[in-house]
Amino acid sequence: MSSLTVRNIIRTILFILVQVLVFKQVALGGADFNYFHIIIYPLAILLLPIDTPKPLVLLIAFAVGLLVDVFYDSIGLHAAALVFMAYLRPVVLRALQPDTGYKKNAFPVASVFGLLWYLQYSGFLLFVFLLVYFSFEAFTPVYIGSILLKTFLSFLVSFALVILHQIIVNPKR
Amino acid sequence: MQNLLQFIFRYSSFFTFIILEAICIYFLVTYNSSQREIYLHSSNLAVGRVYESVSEVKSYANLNEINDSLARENARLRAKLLSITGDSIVIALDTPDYKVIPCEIINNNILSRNNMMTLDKGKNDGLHNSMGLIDDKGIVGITRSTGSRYTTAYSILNTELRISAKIKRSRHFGTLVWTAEDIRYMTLRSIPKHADVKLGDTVATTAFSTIFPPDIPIGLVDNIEQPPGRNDFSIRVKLFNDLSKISVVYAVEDVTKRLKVNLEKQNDE
Repeated sequence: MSSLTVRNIIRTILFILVQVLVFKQVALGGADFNYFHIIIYPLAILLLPIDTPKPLVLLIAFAVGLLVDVFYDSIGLHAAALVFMAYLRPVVLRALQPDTGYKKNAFPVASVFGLLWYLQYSGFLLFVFLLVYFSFEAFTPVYIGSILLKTFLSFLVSFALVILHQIIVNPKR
Repeated sequence: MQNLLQFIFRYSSFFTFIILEAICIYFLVTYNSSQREIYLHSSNLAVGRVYESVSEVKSYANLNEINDSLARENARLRAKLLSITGDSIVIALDTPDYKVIPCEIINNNILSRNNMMTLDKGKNDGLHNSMGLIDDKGIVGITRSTGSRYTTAYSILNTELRISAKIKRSRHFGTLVWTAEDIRYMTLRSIPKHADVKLGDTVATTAFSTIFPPDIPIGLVDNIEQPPGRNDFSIRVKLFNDLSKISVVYAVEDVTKRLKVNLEKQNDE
């Protein structure tokens, strides 16, 4: 196993732990206004090397989602949303591809492609994740208003933390 | 063959995606109660329409039989009505305690352990959750979740149901369950050993539950067993009803139920 693989595995486990041990406990809106969900662990998928085989990304997303589900007591919910996001990742990467194309072994991080690129990349995918997540949570289009509200509010706080991670940790790879 | 393999390989990520997402949704509706309820509800609505049209065709074939049984019931009710005219208590209670809504069963399952049925009426027709379902021969089930136009109900042939029932003659009461062995029989448990039970006694509902009206006949005592080491009988009850050929039922609701439940709640506090 290369050091890169080990590095990604450790990072993924850290994201999951922070998610379920810290951010799961935070209720920003209080008990009556439970519209702010802080969700940062999709970073584990976002930060995978760009040329990771696509089916592998999906399988990792499935595993990570199920692990988080075990803690959230919602088997299948996080996994469904994360697999969906993982499937869209190559599409977004292709859309944001620089003129010169991606180099071999490139990493989708701000220090390589710039902060603006990273904002578009992570912002779109995180939003899709949250939208799918809350849709599957409600499981009916009846509550479309509350689904959208939850998605927007949760996106604001989660996205802020995702950017903060990029600025503070500033991973090179 | 090679083309097929190439095709699968080329779209491998798409197939992986579809398979994983299908597994996720399967998990979601199997292990999460709220999603399962919604799934059942909406599939009810879609499936209910299909069943309704099938049962419409079927009911044409059974029309004669249904007609006969309704006529018989009518006659019996008429006779009953005559016998109670002049009974001051009944007349004094001008508002009837029970709301009765006739429904048709458009899907009825009897082959699994936890059987369910689907009715052709829903919230729009005044149905609620946990209403009792009876017909002219006895009890049939309990409504479970009501949609706007269709309702799913537990059949009494459901191992999860516990129904309060009594031996009509001696008034000893117990719990009626289905052991998933035979659709003609249910088992009455928790009847104390000193109770005077004979083969052929009638078993009926009690007034304790708010779901069924009291004294609705259920069946006859068919076999009495004393499980070793237990202090109660295990009584096999032969049902009056044949659940495998039922089509018209009445959903009944005790309109004073809320008063009763509230009072019991107050006492618990």
